[in-house]
Amino acid sequence: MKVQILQENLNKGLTIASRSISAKAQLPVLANVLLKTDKNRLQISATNLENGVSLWLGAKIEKDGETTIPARILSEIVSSLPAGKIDLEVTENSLSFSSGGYTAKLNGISASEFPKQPTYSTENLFSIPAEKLLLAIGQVAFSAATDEGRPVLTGVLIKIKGKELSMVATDGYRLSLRRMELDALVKEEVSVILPAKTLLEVARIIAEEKGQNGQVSLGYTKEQNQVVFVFPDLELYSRVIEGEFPDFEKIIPETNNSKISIDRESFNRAVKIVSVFARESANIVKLEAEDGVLKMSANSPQVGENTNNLEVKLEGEKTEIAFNFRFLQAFLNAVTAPEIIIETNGSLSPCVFKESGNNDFLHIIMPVRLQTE
Amino acid sequence: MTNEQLWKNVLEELKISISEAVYKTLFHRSCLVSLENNIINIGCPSPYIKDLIEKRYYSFLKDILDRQTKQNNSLLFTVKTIVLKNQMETGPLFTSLSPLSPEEIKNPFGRENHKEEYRLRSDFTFENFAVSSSNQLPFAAATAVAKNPGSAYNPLFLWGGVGVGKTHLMQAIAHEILKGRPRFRIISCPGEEFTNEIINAIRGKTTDQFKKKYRSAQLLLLDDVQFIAGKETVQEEFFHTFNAIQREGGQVVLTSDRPPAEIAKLEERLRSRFEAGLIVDIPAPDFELRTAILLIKAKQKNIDLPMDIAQTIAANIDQNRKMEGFLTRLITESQTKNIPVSLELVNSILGRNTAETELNTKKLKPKEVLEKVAEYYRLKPSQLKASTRVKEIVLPRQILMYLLRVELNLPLVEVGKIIGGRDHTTIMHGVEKITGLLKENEDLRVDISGIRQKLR
Repeated sequence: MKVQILQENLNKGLTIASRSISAKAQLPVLANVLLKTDKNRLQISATNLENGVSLWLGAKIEKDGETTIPARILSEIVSSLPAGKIDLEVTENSLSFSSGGYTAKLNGISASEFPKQPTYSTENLFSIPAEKLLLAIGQVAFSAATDEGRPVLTGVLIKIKGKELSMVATDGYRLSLRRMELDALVKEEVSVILPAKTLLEVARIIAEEKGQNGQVSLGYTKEQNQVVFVFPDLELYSRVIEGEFPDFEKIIPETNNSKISIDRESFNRAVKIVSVFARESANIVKLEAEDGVLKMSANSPQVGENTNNLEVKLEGEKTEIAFNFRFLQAFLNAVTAPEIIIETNGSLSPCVFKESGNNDFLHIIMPVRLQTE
Repeated sequence: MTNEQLWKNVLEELKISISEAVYKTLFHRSCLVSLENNIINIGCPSPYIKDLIEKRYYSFLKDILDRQTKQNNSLLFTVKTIVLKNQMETGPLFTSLSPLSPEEIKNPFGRENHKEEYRLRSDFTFENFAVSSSNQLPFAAATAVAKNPGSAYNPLFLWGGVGVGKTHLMQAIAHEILKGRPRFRIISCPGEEFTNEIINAIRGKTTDQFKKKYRSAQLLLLDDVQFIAGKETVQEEFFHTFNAIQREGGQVVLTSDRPPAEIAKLEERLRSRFEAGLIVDIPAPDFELRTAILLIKAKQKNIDLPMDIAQTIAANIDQNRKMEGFLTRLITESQTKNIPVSLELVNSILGRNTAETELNTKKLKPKEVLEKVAEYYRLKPSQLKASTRVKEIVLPRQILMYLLRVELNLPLVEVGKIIGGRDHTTIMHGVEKITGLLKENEDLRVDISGIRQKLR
């Protein structure tokens, strides 16, 4: 293999590929990236056996070939090189490397050792607007659990029916639900649980310009138990989490006793300031709404106590409810609307958070039991 | 043979032949999907893994499967993950309609089950407790208390040296009671923590809460009660707690490293109360019991430990905790070096392992060991060094070699020099002979532990 490529391109490709490599790869070849010539482009692939990525970079190919090279060392070198042309040449299983006055020779492992990229059929792909997907992932993925003890909850349920796609994630304490419209009708009904990590990676790739303003294609092959996200010049594969997602529909309250409308910014500020006192006492922030005023308070025996009064619009009964403020903060970080709505059924039932004027997004937080002294 | 069994056998064989890293990465979550007309369908968790297994282990797997089934099979690979049957916890949002209490919020992930709330070690149960004639009485007392808490023996006072199983027995009582009555209010804490809690309660002016918590217990397990001796307020609070619990028919179980009569600075009224119940001591385990304990521990770690190896270890190490440490070491060593657990391996670690820990506590001089051994057998040190091969002297000499090697971790050549300039192979033979003999010979075990006592 003999290739000439720009440092900027190679660096960007290696950065993305490296993210799919496990920090503690059990097999040596899994710590490597596959470099391969594919028609007139250079293909880079990486995997941790659960998910994987392949991407293609523009390059001048002088001679075809392939090999695998330790990812960490290679990306460290490439990122330190100045912008400009890099010459790559593979002889046997080592990669010779030159750019300006710098030369290096890296030992690799034969490409035949590297696991084959999964295949997918282009017929079963359907496209999702990238911009909308990015937003939805940002609003849903943070609600997924992080402990591997409950594998299903570390995933995000993606359901597609007709033209509607919905995403749900929950860690058992809070839940996010986001619906979005697709441009085209999907023939088959799909319901898969994908690792939240995969979706966050998808969001990252979209944000890093790949596929922005465009479309992302999604394909699901049941037999292979995997999904693929197809971007221009990039494919991301991921396993599907098997198992049954909890029946989330039954916990979404249909009615409410009180409805509080509140300015997002001032609420955000209030949560931030009140929570200073909550950190010492199990992160609990208390909310009391009565006569158009929302009183937020937190206290801890060691630090002291504080309260903050906000003017709000209250419909229905006066109410009292307490939350872990970290959950409130996570929700507030995920929304952008100027006004948000809180709907409660008392201090013991799941509480709904929404954006005003947006019926496609719903967040539910389980309140904390109030200590009655 | 069912498919599951067949696959289990195959995996066992794989474990032996390939490194653990490869096994865990590739085969850990694989399964056998079907076996029909000599076509074996193997499920792999992801397409990548499927590709790797197919490429690298096809013929290897076929070999094993053909041998196991005694047929000529063809293999087929598909992507399929094993779905774990046990339903995981889905969290309060789905399970309960009552919201969380602040304690649960502090640790929203990895919610504790009941046993962890009581801070009991899950392996400390009666089933895992090895009983022999030496510790039958404490075991019987503990089971009686578990059957009739509050009425059989109240309080139950268990005492004994380190690592004899005091805490194990005590927690086993709690486990046994929880089996039948999961809502039983159990408080389990070390004496030291009890002290700290009182101090905190006094400082934070929350003594009421403290009293409420402890006095409502139906079973109070207090570990290492000797720590409260000499602390007046703590003893007084404990006295009242003790009375309150007994009045309500609750059970108290205490452990200590010595009997109540010997705990200095223990208030008289407490001592008399402790003595009112049953006081049993747990003696240090004998050789047979140690072997049994070792086998139980090995089973818990899913290791198949052959009897002769277990006996060798039990004969050479006389403390339970050390034995457990040794076992862990043995397993790690055999896994990292990928060699089976064998007598040779045990012998090679034995020399290093015991010496390291012993040396840290006290510096022994080879000369002292020489003198003590000579003294024990009523010989002169010079006789041990001499070249005579009289039977009465040869055995003590070999014991000396063993002790120098095992306790002091001296190199073989060095040991040879000390014992009258003997060749290192002689020493090797001597040490091996004693290690082997220890397993069969009770007298020798008594002798060696006697000498060890003197050395301490």
